[in-house]
Amino acid sequence: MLDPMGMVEIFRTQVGETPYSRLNPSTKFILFASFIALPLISASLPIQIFSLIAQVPLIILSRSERRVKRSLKASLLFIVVLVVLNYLTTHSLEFSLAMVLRLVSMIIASAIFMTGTSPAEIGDLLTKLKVPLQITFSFVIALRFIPVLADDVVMIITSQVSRGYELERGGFLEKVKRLIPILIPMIIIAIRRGHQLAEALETKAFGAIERRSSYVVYEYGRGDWILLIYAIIVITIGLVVGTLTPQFQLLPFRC
Amino acid sequence: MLKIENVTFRYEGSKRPALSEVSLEIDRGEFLLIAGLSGSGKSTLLRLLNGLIPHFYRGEMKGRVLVDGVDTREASVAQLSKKVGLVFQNPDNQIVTLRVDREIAFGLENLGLPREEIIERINEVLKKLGIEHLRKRGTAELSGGEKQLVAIASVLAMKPDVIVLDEPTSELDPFSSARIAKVLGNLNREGVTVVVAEHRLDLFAPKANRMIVMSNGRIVREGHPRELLYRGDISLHGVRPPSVVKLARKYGVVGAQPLAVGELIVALRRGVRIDRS
Repeated sequence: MLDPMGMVEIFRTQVGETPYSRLNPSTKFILFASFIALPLISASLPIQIFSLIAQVPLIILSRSERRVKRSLKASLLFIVVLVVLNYLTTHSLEFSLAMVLRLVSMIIASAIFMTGTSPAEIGDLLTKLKVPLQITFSFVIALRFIPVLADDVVMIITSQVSRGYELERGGFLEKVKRLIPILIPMIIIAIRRGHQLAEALETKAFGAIERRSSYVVYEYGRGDWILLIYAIIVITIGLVVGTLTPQFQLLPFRC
Repeated sequence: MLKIENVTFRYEGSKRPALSEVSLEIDRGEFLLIAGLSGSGKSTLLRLLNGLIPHFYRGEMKGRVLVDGVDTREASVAQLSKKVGLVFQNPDNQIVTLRVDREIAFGLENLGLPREEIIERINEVLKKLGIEHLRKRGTAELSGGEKQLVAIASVLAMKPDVIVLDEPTSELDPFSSARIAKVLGNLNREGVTVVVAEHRLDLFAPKANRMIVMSNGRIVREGHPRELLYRGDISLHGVRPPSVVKLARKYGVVGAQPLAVGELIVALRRGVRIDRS
């Protein structure tokens, strides 16, 4: 059975109150970007280990141990494949390990960012990065309508099933075909909702002037400055470690 | 304040006009109730008031609509939104942000108001509607009634002279519906002009000071709700008087023309007293 309500959980708007979640979204984004960039500075093992350790304070601040664990568990198969393939092509255990740790530390960085940043903050961040309003607004609207449309799907499925419609029958292709009576009402409902939404937006003067004002203002607190300095220090150390210890080339293939 | 002059409107792709030669004047401070079956032209009439017709809906329009003396054809919906606020039937389809305070701020941001003023207006409107506790809540977690109150708040924050509501209680439970009616009654008493299209006459008729009945795109009856609901012939147009009216008729207290249960009780008591003396 489909689980549309499960999707809703991913996009919960209420982010738990943690020291990390209270940070300015720009700070969170800079930290996220730094920890994505750090493991890419060099392929050496020390830098990968360093980028893992450097993220520990963030995991603690964001209380995201569970999410980190879950994300790592979910990508376990991928990690194993990566080790095997790397080892088969390079015959270097150290290199394979470095590649895995690089992936792991990127997964951790994403997990921390996703646990501690609400969708609304991501929308504001996009606005700040000068992404056009139409795009950032579409993003926020999409998030806003996920629970609404999920409810619609549940309603359509239950009403089709209660009229004797069998959703799960036959092979793969048959099952896909059987989704059509769910999808068509779904699309019609979504278009209707979209139309009414457009009316509501018109009514609220959306797009009336070039520069909207902004109600939400994010300030930079002491925590933000401390963590921004932390990001600079971490990246600097990364650059130093990355250039001083070139144990092997980035792609040590033999011709 | 609002003036509809001999308007006929036909939606693009439809053969029959949705409105035929409608004229209506709405004065400042009024509470106008619009009754009529579904498809009688209520929603079309409301869309005329804030310029959604002819700006958003395509079709053929004759006659004109004046908002504060300005022809709606010559002003944009955004300009008109400062004068006429429209609240729709389904609260889910008109809430556009993820948090209550941001939802109320949305229209104000679109108008480009300074942040201090936005905060002030949010505080004011939350207090006015008695929903201060919802301020930081996620819009997806609200109940239907709370969502509709937030939708009203977001329109009200734009400080329109007239607030227009298209069947605001059709998706709500009786308790929330009564709350919406009460809120609108209070707003009207504070001087906001209210125009409501509704089927729940029991809730809204006691608050209204004028009522029109629509049928097949025309205004067929107009007058004070007491007068119209006690006349008896509006059921010809599919409008059923509330139970209080039926009870009042049954117990012979039609003279007082009660519309709310409280009024009926008072009228009955008086009636009983008169009988004794």
